[in-house]
Amino acid sequence: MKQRRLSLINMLPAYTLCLVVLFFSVLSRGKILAPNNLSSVIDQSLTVMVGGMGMIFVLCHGGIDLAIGSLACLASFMAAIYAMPYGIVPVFLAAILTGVASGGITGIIAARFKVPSFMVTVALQTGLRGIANYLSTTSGILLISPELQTFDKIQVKVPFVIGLMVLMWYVFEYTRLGKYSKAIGENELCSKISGVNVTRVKICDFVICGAIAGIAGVLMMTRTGGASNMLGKGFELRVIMALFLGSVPVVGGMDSKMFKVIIGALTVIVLENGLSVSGISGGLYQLIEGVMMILMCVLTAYAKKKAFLRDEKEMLKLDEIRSEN
Amino acid sequence: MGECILKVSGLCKTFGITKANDDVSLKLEPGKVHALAGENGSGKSTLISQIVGIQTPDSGEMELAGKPYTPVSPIDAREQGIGFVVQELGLIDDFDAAMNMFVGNVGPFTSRGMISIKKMREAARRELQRWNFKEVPMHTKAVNLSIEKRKIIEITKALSTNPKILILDETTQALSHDTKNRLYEIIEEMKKEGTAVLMVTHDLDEMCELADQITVLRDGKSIVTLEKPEISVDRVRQLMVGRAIEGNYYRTDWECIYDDEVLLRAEHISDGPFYQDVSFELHKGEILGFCGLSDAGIHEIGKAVFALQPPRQGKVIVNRSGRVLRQPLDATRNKIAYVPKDRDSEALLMEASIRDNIYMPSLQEIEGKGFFISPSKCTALAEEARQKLNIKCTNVKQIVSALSGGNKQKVNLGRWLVKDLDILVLDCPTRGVDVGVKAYIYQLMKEMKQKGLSMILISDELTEVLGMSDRIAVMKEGKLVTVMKRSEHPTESKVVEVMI
Repeated sequence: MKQRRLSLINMLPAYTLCLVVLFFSVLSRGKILAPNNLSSVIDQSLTVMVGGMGMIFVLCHGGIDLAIGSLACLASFMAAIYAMPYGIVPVFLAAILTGVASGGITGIIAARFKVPSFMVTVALQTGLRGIANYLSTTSGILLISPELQTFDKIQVKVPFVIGLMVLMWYVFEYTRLGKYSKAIGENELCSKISGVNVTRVKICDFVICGAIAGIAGVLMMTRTGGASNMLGKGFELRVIMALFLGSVPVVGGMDSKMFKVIIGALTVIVLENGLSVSGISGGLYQLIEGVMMILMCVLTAYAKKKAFLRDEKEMLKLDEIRSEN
Repeated sequence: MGECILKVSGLCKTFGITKANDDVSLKLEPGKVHALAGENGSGKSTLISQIVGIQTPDSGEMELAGKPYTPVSPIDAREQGIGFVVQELGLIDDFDAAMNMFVGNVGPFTSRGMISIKKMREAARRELQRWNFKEVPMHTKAVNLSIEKRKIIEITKALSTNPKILILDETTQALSHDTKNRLYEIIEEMKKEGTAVLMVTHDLDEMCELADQITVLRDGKSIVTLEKPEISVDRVRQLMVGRAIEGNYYRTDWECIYDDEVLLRAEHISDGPFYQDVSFELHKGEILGFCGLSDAGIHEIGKAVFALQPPRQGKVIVNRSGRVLRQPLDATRNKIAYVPKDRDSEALLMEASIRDNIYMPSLQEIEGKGFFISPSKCTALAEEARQKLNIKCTNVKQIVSALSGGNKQKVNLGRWLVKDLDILVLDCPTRGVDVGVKAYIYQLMKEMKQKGLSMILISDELTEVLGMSDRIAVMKEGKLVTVMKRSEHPTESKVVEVMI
């Protein structure tokens, strides 16, 4: 048991993060370790972490949600237009409801009508941002309320995200929904035969992902000070990168773990931050990000293979002991 | 002792800390069928992989027709006249039948740098016809073909090179009755033409029937080679395991015992080409066996009962509640479980741990307050199954794909047997499983029957169905021909008569 926990596939994200931090500390001559830079890193990684804790539900069952950036944007608009005057809680509620509605539709189309989630969410990515654009032209400038401004402090954000993380962790690792989602990612037919309501689980996963994207949208909005139709651009790619850099398997399954979201989010932001502080920009920056992602996917698959080989070896050892008796 | 076409002496192969082959010797004679017997892990596949060029021996020698034989690759072995069908699925998933048959050998179909698929398909058809095999659809990708059809392609491919030695590694277990018979006929023809046949099969009756010589392997060593007069199923079994097997294999009683209560009814169910107008009842504590040829529809009936592939017409009804089963969820809610034939791709989460596989169907029972799934309860359940089924592993967190076939099946069954079930549908439960585990599974079935569990046993092995069932439903070409009661008088021929 101790052996499995410390196995390569679970430790890989930690190794990667350490390596990346070390590398950029040297490359930037210590600049990334300056206190205000570090707090900026933590601040930025919070939104990615939030996005990741929702996305992991979908990824682990083998799906993907490419619309969370646009959804976060739309959710923030909905919250700003309809709920801003009423306080912090209604703002979050409005955003969550938008996310739930979008996630529900995605889930039904993907799970019930069996359209690949990639296609559905690519379409929604454009569609939802279109609605957000429309709303931005008709609503004028939308600033956040003073109450919401208090949310922008790290002392408020971090406990909030931690609280949310604890809740999501619980659902992902200790409830049937999480276990079923991972099983579906491993083998959908087997899960069906084992009595899992595959359609219902998948829809729940998309709803959670959507709701969380809504929350992320509010967080982004507090940072920029108002709802803007540029909110969330590139968010989904950052979140996916975070998950893969965190060594979540590309096809999902049992090795998807919540702690990988945290480490992956930190890794992605340290990577981006490190590259920009070191003066690397533009094409080279994106190239490095792409290469890192592929490298991690390959290493994750390799780590999985190692786990299998280790188990196979243990089995052969057992055979030998048995035959000696 | 005739002259030798293949002579293996003192072969050794070690993987890590395991001596897979320890000083193994073997002699194949032309025109004879030589079988390799041994439990899972005894070294059969390792020996074959060295003969066939997939692995190189650490030490020892091989001679082919008197000359030293050291194949560097499977293609090299093929060119030297060794045709073989591997144990796992040896085809390329995305290629169709013709492309798979001639992959690596497309020369005759190439002109001006382009391959004529049409010519390849015609040639493939001709090869299949030459060996009198059933039609295999030429345009379908291998991954979409049934295991049986894939094996037929592999066999034809091996035969098409006109080999001096034909090796069949656990080939027959995926085949239906009539295809198996065809293969036996082909083996006879090969014998007459002087080809040596080396086969591995878990079906001891088949082995003892066909083989002229049997070499028994145990724990990597070649124990003894039996000649035809010494061959008997009991002898082979004893040598394989190293001790006499106690107790009886199948059921010892000949009575048809079950409660009067009917648990499940199938009423006039039909599903297109697979089966038509089938009706039957399942009683409490009954083992209802289904047997038939490959196209009889027995496997589809299993899927229909579980509503994995519900019938197009007719209904499967749970008697107590009157509920009609329309999807697998209905079945599991009514305490019905299904053990699929295709263990590796349908029954288990191969890349997950033993523990994960075992608790997955029981999550609803494990769930506590606030939807909490306790990890300790999960592990406890896994340990319970491990002890009950005597699953061979160092701990339950090992990955299932690392286990042997027999142990995988134990995990497969174990996760259902720790639940409170009314009905268990078993499709080929002892396929690809060695003698020791087979006996174990039959024992389990007997115990569960005593406790009142009803079972539907679907199997290609006639002796298994006859040995274990209370009633035997015989199907032919989609129709339920007859339902016979268990009896000790010779029934095999009676059943076969109706089946064909």
